[in-house]
Amino acid sequence: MAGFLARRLIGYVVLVAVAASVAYLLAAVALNPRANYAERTPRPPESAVDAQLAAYNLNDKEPLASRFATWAGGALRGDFGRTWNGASVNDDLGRRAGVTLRLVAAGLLLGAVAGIAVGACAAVGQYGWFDRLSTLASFGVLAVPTVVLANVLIIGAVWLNDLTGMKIFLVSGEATPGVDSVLDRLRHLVLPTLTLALGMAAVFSRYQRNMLLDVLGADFVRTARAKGLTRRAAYGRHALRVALIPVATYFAFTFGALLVGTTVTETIFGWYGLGQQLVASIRANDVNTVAAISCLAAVALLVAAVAADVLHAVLDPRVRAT
Amino acid sequence: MTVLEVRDLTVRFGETPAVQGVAFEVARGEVLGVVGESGSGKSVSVLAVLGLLPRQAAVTGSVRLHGRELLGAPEKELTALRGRSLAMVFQDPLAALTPVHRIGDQVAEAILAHQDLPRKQARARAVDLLDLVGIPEPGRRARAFPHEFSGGMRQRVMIAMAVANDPDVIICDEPTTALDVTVQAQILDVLGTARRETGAAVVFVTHDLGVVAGLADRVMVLRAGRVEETAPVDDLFFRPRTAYTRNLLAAVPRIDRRHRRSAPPPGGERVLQVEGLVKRYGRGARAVDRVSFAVRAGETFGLVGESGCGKTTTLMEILALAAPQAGRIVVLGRDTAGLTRRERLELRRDLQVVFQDPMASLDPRMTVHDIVAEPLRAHGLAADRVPELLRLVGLDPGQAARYPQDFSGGQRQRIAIARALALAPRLLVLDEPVSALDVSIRAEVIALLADLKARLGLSYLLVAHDLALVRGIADRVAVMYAGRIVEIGPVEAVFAEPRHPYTRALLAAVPVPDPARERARRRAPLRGEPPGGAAAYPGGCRFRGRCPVYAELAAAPASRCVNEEPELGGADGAACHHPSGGTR
Repeated sequence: MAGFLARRLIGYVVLVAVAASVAYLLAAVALNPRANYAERTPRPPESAVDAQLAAYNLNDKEPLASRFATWAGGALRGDFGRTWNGASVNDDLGRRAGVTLRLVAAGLLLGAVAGIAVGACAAVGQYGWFDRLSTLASFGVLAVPTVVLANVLIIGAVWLNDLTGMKIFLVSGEATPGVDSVLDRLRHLVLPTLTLALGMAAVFSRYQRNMLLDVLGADFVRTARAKGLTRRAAYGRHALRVALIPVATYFAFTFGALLVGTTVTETIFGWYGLGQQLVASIRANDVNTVAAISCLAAVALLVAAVAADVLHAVLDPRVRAT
Repeated sequence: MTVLEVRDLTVRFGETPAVQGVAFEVARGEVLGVVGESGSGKSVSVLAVLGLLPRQAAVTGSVRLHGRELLGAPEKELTALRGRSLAMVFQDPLAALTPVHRIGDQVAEAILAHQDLPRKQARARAVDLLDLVGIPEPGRRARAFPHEFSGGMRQRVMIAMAVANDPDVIICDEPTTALDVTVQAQILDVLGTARRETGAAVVFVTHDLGVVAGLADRVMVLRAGRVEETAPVDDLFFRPRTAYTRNLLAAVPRIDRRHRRSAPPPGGERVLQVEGLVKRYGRGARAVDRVSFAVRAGETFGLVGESGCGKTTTLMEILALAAPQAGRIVVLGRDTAGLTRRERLELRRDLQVVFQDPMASLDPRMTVHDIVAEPLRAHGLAADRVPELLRLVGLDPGQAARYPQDFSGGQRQRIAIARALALAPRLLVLDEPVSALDVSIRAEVIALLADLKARLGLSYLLVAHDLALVRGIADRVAVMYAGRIVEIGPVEAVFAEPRHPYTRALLAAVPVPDPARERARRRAPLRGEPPGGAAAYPGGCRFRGRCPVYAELAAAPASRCVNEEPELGGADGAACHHPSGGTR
């Protein structure tokens, strides 16, 4: 197992290196930080712009290969360079990664747990009222774009706030500036988490329902019933336990993908996280930030892949051998 | 004393009744055999007794356990009875055990479902039960997972779970169907032990009349959801009342009878010659080790052995038409090692194959016409022979536009045979061609194969684990064990006077559909299990660990078995140092 993981890990490191390099080269070719200076009034002299860009390793007059070498050297040491106007990419992304992590962790965990529960109940009572209702609800959520879902939630929250005359839910940012309390953070967290969780729950419930339906008719579930286990015990301890294995793999991968994939939610609720920043930095011709976030995304996905492998091995003794 | 009484049991899935008016009873210590072909409703009947049918099944009638009505009883009451009074052993022991829980835990769970014991005590009892059903090192093996057990060991675990709470009735649904014959004999033994230990009534569902003959006190024959007849075992086999039962009995190939067959043309040319064939997967032991045999024109050559013995690997090596890792394969005079791509394609016309499971080997999205025409098209030939080919295998060419799933199992196998014959091959490889089929359908397909062989001058290489079938249709036979051929010769010679102890054990393990002979038989099942493909073999005879002859040899002759690997003498013979020793 350890040897297997080590071999996988080496493969993943190579993949990350390739993905990050390609992302950097693409960003360096496609984006034009010089344009940011050209729009300034008064327009700075070209030599000054050159010097400024060169200081940040963004000067397009320098050969691409040499810029890449500089960037790669820095990246290997864990330094992703400077933004187009000189701020440290590392500091910025460190802050933003924290924001995204808090959002995604809460949203995904809640969504997965709810989705698995709903999917399991729906499968056990296949074609019953709960199954039909949850099917309708999950397809409803899946059909509605996140923008709409988020805004519906906001409208509902504002209505509830008005109704009760209290500020239960807060819509903008991670915390009220100047206030530092857990409650305040939670009030900010509820709506974006819910937006994320609803979408996740919809996907997970469909997936879990189908996985469970596949095993409910399995011989080993029948064996469990024949032993004298109640339906609930047979389904829980035997069927669901087995049906969770593929869902757990999916969970790990989703976590990796979401780290830079919650752009809409972050933007709407004013959470300045990685997804939001990726879009912003592409607009701002910020080559180094784009490359750094791409690199981070690759790392996140591959860490998720390792986590999925480990999780799979933990849940399924059949893959542990050799 | 009647323990279980079933009256007028009817099960419907939607409108169609799967079981209609089935009635039977079993007394304490009695074994009731339930036989029938697929779709006869035998499994549905016993699942209805346990109340484990899917919810859309409508069950009516009466099922009484100790006089207490079970149909319509509250689920809670049934749950309390299942596993305690009514225990069940299912067919496929791999699918029937939860893959993610430890063996010991699964047995302990059966105990804990009905007995208020500390978990630790239940675990200890589980280990005792595993010991009872003959699992070696039960304490250590209890911590293993199902995939680490062989099929026979898994079925022992199922039996351990069934007897965990000292049940009144044990229902067995085809418990030995997925197992090799020597392992089947062991499992039947273990079931006997379980019955003696618990004094339970046993309902034994099977399609194998041989198993029923040796085991059952009474037999119920089901056909299309109805009881055809129920009779004491001797009456059923010797004085069957209905034509259906008589036909069923007549259709069973008998391993204990000589078969008259027209002798193949002597000394015909060799259509297939295998010499010293070796195949190993990765760095494992050799799955096929120095195997040599020849198939002559007009001959049916049987290759038999238990799972993992290398017979399928041998087949695949031949079908590859490529250079083997070692040794030589000569098909119709052409050495496969020296073939160019083009020559290989041409040779493939003469060598075709029919697989075991027609459901899996026919593409469900292709029409029968396309399936049969595919080999013709692949070789750039016109597809106008398809209707003729379908008629040849007894199918109506008018049905060529339909899909495989519209046909019965036997018809599907006919389609597969038509496809194999499309290119007018000279050698047909048959890989367990009838083992997925019912007894009566089997007889039809076998007859078809015999007819085709005579009419088209084919030669067959038949791979099968059903020894009775091989005795019925093969001219020569080779017995494989652990990657090697241990005995080879004319089929009558090998079956009537087997010389290798393994062949003897294999033949002795096959139950015959004759209650008197089954009862008279001295039961001494072969110990141990057939070695899997990955096992490494020490020097000497590979069979000696299970060999009854070796076990009784004096030190001096036994040392030969340890130090020297026995080889086949010539074209016929047994690879054994003491072919006449021991049991005779």
